[in-house]
Amino acid sequence: MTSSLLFAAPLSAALLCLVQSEPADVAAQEEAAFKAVAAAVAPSVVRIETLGGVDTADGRLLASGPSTGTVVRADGLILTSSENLAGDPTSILIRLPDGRRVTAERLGEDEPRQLTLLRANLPEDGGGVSPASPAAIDEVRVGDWAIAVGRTFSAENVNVSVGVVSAKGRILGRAVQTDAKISPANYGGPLVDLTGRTIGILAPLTADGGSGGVEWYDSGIGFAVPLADLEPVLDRLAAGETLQAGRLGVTFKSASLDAEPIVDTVRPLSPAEAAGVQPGDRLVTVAGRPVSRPDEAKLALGPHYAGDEVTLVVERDGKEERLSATLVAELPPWRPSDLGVLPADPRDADEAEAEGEEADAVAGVAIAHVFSETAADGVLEVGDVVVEAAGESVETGDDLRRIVSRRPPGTELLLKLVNGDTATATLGEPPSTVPDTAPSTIDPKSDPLPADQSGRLPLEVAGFEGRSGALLVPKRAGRGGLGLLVCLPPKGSLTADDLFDRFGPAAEREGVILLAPNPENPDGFQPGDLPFFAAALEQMRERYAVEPVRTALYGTGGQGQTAWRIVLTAKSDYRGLVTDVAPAQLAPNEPDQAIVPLLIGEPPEESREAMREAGYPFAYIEVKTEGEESDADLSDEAIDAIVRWVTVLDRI
Amino acid sequence: MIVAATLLACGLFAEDPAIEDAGVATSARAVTAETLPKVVKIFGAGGLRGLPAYGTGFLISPRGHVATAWNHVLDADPNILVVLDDGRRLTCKLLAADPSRGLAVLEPERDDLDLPHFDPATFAPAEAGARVLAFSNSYKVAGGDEPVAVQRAVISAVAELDARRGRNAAGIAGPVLILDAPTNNPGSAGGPIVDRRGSLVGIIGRELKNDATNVFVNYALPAEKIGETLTAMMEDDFVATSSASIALSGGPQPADLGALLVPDVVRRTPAYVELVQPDSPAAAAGLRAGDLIVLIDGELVPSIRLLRSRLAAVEPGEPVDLVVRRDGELVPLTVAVPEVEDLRDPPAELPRDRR
Repeated sequence: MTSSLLFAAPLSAALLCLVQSEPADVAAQEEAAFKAVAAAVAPSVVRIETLGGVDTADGRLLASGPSTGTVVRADGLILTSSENLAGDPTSILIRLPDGRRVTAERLGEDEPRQLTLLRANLPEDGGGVSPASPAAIDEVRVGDWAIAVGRTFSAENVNVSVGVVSAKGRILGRAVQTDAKISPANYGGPLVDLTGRTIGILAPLTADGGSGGVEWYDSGIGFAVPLADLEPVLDRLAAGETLQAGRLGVTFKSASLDAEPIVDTVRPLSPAEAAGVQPGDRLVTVAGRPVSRPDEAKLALGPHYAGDEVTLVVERDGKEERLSATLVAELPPWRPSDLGVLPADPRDADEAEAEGEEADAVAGVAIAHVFSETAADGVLEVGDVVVEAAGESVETGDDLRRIVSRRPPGTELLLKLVNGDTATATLGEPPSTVPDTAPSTIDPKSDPLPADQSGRLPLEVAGFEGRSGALLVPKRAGRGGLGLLVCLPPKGSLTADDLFDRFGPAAEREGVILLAPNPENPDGFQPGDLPFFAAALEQMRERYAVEPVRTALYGTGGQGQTAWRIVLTAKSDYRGLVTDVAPAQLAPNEPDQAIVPLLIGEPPEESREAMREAGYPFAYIEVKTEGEESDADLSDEAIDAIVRWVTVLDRI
Repeated sequence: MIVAATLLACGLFAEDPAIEDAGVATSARAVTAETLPKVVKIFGAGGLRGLPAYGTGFLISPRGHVATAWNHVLDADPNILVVLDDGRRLTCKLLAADPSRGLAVLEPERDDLDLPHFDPATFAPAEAGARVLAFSNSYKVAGGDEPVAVQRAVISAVAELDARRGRNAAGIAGPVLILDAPTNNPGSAGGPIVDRRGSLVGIIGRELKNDATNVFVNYALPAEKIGETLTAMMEDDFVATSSASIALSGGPQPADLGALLVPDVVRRTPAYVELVQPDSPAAAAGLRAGDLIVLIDGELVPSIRLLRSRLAAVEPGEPVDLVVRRDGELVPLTVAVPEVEDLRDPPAELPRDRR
């Protein structure tokens, strides 16, 4: 109650000014109010001094000078911007408003709001500090005066910067925006209204949760995290907890502004899946807020932490369902699994239909091959037609692959066959080696491609007339159509001619197109080549009916990292990646656009671990490790294995 | 936009005749109208290495003496071009400069003018929270005959720009006015800051980066203290004081007190004490191994590097006050610094293996 008395004084002073307006010198009254507010809030604003620590973080030069904190509890709890402690100082001192210094310890951190709670070891007399009194955030209006207060220029006096509240609900609903000048001079200090109440704690926030907001200093775009929002979590922060942003685990069909919030995918093992959210559900409310667009759903989740339980109302089949999800900080990595089958060529079904057979006869996915010692071994047979899996109907190989990929290894998958039989397969781990044998896929009696569309051809891509490259197209396609291996030859080591000589026989035998674009830059392919690659692949899909699920990129040596970048940027164009490089850090693999790596040579344990954690079902082929490796050294067996692997990329 | 906001704000109450009649302008519009004729644009040397060849100043005498910031623009002396708010041009020479305050006074060739001006005797004090207007030719936006631009601001703080003892990185002694608007831009230096009554309270300083916060700082030199200096400079009886150089070496080092610090491995290695020599001044004062030295004579020492430079500035033979952090407590100690003849020459460390 002491604080409310304290704040009553400037408020009445300011009001007194307003009623005394004779003549109406508004400017003078406002000036008096600014000064009164600064004086009133000063006992809540402390200076933070740090010792030790580092100079730079994320490549930014960190400020080494004093910064600001806001007292939020009389016993010495102080909130500050995590940016002020980004140098990870050895020791933190608090300079109290009366000039005395005391030590302080870091307690918890609010990661999404980038605030850290400190506890100052206050002297027995309390140090003369007074906790900030939060403004009711609902009563804060855009356009209200907002005064940013810091204690960096001098220890004795606070520094002020005057502006207005520019917006509310910014940064995923976590912050108030102001045009007061917000910089290291006041990060961690309070943004105060004209009655001396604290609207929020100033912090350099960015929408993506990064720490880059410092670039916006003094730009007229500043943020403050509402103190009222933080009150409920102060005890958790005081207990040393690190609060993280909460994630649900759904993606939307479209992120465009006018799109409906319809769930496209539900991440396996995610809170959304546990809550019973299904693809196709339309979100109606999220955490009590009505949502009509995907970004509104994100905004509704923004203020919530991992561990928070949120209510979702979804519309499914015209009915509304109420679901409850407990958010998590990190979605569990996708754990790919394997049934151990190859689907039959879908074109057969089309042909069957064209030949007038009954629709029932072509429904489902026919099994073309069952790999030995897999989940399907002994459960399914070649020729079986799967029409339902885990209760979902199956019409194409993609359907079955999606159902299998969403379930971790060990899941018992109930399969229904077209003949009415049921079977249960216990899903296994994806293979780590290339199978020694794949079904003989080329039908030598089938019609070959016309001579002008097969063999060695120049690569000509519409819209990229200046670019060149070469194609080697086999005469006949195998099961499921032609495969495609796009090759990035490492600089100088291998020309397209060499490559076609080495890979050509196997590719002809297995029905795989080889595509060798020439780099425009003599140093090799660059991220700027992406549009060219995308256009070339689209052409392959149109001309040769090559499916993305049968498309792989080959890049080793100096092109390995580039190859990773290309496939991860254009996930919908590729399924496979052949490389000898395994990055130490990887974005999580997504079940619906999964990338399957084939490594030339056994990857080191840390790379295996990184790929496993990010959900990449990699396989590898053994090669001789003596001397310097280059593509020219690949054995015929290795080349055969690479090409064979491309033909079974659609394995389910 | 800033100008528009200013005009809008003064529109609120400029209609009130009581204010205009009182003889004291208190609306932003009235203050602006009164101030603009006293502000000048300055064109001189520069243009190389991104340095602007223009600046801002203000009149301090009827004859047309101009006060401005002392900087490279004035290297064009004696052909410094001053443009009045109505477009009239005066050729000026550099009359006097005060490098320690960063001030200069220009004098026009002609002496037949009677111009509106700020009287140095009426310069006013300013305090944090005060609303002010800043006038300057920032970015040379006022390229033709038109007057300079006006910005609104609030004085954020009155404080030392950089309180580092022994070396003032900003080169500006004493407190300055910190402003909460982007007032310090190319060409702004020398522009006047006036309060809501139209009194001169500050002079915009040259562009600086604040070492403490690692951001560019918007500040002005307080006018209150420079009126006399400007008058003296105008009357040609000003003698610039040469700024005394401060010796940073030659003073005591930690070893002279009998303390060995942990190895200084990174830029911000904190000043932990590794060992204290028995029978040394440090031991007598109660310094212990494991202590973290946080303050010397009340000044924060965030790193060993700064501890050394601060200690070096301490007078030999005098006591120095230390505060150390020990088990979460701040413990004050007073250490007797040896006389100058007892300091290690050359400065040296204690041997690390001595226990």
